[in-house]
Order: sequence, then C-alpha cells, then structure tokens
Amino acid sequence: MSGLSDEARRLIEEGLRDAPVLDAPRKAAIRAATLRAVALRSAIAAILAGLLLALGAVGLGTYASSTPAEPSPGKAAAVLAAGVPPIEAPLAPAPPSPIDRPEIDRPEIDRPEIDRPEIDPAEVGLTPRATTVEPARRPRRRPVAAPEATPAPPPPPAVEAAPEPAEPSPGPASTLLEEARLLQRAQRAIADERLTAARALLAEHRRRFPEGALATERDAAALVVDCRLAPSPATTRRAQAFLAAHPSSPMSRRIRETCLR
Amino acid sequence: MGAFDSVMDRLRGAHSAGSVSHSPAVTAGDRASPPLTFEEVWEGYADFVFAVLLRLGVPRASVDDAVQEVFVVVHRRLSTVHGPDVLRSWLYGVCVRVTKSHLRKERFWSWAKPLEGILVPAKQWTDAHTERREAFDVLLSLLEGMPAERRHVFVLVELEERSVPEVAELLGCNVNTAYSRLRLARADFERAVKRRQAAEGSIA
Repeated sequence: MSGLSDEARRLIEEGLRDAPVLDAPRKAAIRAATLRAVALRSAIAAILAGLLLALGAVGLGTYASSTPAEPSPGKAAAVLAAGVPPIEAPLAPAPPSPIDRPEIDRPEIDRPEIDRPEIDPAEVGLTPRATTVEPARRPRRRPVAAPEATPAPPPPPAVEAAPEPAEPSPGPASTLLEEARLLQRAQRAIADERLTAARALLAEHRRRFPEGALATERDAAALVVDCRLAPSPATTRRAQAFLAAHPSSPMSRRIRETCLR
Repeated sequence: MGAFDSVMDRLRGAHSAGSVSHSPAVTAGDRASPPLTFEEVWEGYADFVFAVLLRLGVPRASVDDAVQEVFVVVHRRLSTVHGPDVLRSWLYGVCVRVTKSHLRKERFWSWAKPLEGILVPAKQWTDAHTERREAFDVLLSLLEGMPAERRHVFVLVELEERSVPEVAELLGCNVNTAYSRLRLARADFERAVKRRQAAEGSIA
C-alpha cells in the first residue's frame, strides 16, 4: 500500500475502476473455444483409453487406476497379472509338445496314426478338442506339471491354439470388461431412446458392480435416465449433487441439459 | 450427500478455512464447502481473469487465448478447489502461470515479428471487440516497461491487494525476493509516472 506517490496511487485507482470487461459475443466465443478444447482433450483421452481397452485388459487397468474411488494400484496390478496369462497360456504348452510327443506318446498315438492315416485330418479338425480343452486351460495354474502328468490325452498344438484365446478368464480383467460391456449396452439403450431397458441394465450394473470402476459413469447415466423418465425435485437435487461432486465429469454437460433445464 | 447449497449461496459466502495456495495438495484439504462448478466460475470470474491477465502483461493480441487456457485448467482442476476464497487465490496462480507461458512464447517467436502480417495475419486488439478504456490503457502503459517478474509482484500486491507472502507463494519465490522485487517495481512505476507527467507538461 505504502511507498507510492499520490499521483501513482490515483492512476492505479482510476485504471482499476476502468477495468475492461468482455462483451457478450467475445465472451461466448472464448467460452465455446474453451469447451471445445476441453472436449478435444477428453476425446483424445477416450480414444487412448479405447485403444488400450482394445489391446486388452491393460487398458481397463489404467482406467481403474485413474478413477479415484478405487483401491486402484492393487486392482491395476491384479488386472495386469490376470491379463498376462491368457496370452501365455496357449504358448506355454506349445513348445514342449513337439518334443513330448515323440517321447511320451509314441507307443499310444503314433501307432494308430500309422494304422489309420485318416485320423490326421480329423485331428486337425474338431474331434480331439473335447480332450484337449481341459489341459489347455490348466497350464495357467500348473504349467510344468500339465504336460508330464497327463500323457494319455496328448494336446496337438495346432488344435489347441485355436479355441483358447477366445476364452475369457474369470479374473478381475474379465469383470472389468463385463462391467464396461454392460454399461455400454445401457448407454446404447439410452441413445436408442429405450429408457426403460436402459434403467433395467443400469440397475443390473448397480446390483452386480456396486463399487465398480465405472460406478460414477453408471450413476451419471442412471441420473440422465431418471431425469428423462420422471423428472422431479429429487432428480434435480441428485443432479446438483452429482455436478458438485464431479464438476469436470464428461457427463456434466449432459446432466445439466437433461436435469437442470 | 450432505448440504449442497444453492449456487448463489456458495458464490456469496462459504468461507473455507485453510492456507491460500494454488497447489492442489493444499487446496484439497479444505473441505469446508463443496467445489464450484465450471459454469459458476465462468459466470463469476471470466471478466476478472481477463483483466488480471492484461494487467499481468499478456499481450492484448493473445489475451483471448490466455483466458481460454486459464479456463481449460479451471475445468480440469476445479474439483480440487473448495470455496470462493481459495478459488480467487488459486485463479491468480493459474493466471500467473499462463501469463508466464505466453510471455515465453512471445519471446520465442519474437524473431518472426517482422513477418507478422506477411505470412500470418496480424492479430489485433480492435475497438470492435472491446471498447478502449482510457484510464486502463494509461495504467497498462505505465506497467509496460517493467520486467515481468517485478510486474507480477507489483500487480498482485498493489493492484490486486494480495499480501506479499501470499504473492511469494503464488510466484514460487522467496518472501524477501518478493519484497525486493516490489521495491524495485515501485521505483519503476514512479519513474514511469514522472515520465508521463513530464510528457504531459511538455505537450501543455
């Protein structure tokens, strides 16, 4: 305050009183540009997340670690841990089998092959799958014991590799994937104006994943559905509460438009 | 979900205790009032941010971009700020950082200045956009020649009436450094005022 001459102080005060304000069009333009920049950022983030999701469970792991309400590092680690084996599982039994087959299976398998050469095409096809599916899944838990302990049903690697990668593993990764899929179905239902169906799907989501990684998104979607189906002071209050709790959620704008008009 | 007051109630009042800081680690601790929404901050503070950026020295040609940058940060980080008191201080911090980055960009592209208007259209602060304010322009012209770091301290202390320790924290410098910059800045400002008086005298 002190240390300035009267003239300096007068010029400052006049300058402060005379401060410019943004006129309406300019303000609107800046606001629009800001929201565009924000939308662009979240779109880029969403695309990156989608790419990671497409690559596998790792994507969901990072998403889970970015949602604050989660015990994230543990979950992400669990997802990573569960995400790796399905890739390795079909590969693990493959290398030993060419070696194992001549050693272990020769007395039982090779001879029938020589006796009846028409088995070979059948083997590559569907027949042995019933016997090979089980040992193919097991190596995940005891990868070393499997080829040695079960010499009788020899897994031909070509047949085994085909059905395995499609099998979802029942770990946290698949839980997250399921959660995301369920939410996606609900969002599609909202987009198609099937609001009652969307509400049922979201209720199912809440029942199955009450504390899921996508709980916030689920709650936002449920709020939008409720506001559309039965707007009331209660939904307005819920919308205000949601906006206060998640001001920068990508859903905020939609909630505001739907619930607080 | 407890008490979520109305928008106006929160803009008016709710005093959140706690230190003033722009760092989310500190503001996150102040839970006295729920976070404001982006719209509330935009409506309440767009003009404020605009004026502060100009006083801090963002060139007029790029002040719109700077306002936008500030509000992108607001959108991203608002949930960590609780209460209007902390918000104001936090906004000063964001404005200072955005100003510094704009000045850096300006310096970096200074070599291309002569090409402006040839290669790229020159941006202009036009009267059509915002009416010119005489007293405000005089104030800006007095701040014009001041080195940026002195100007920031001077503006935040003398114009925005923040305390020197708070300004030191906002600018990330030592309190003594802030005092020393303030002293030099006051001298700079007085010299500019004298020059202006002399010029007016010679015209008259």
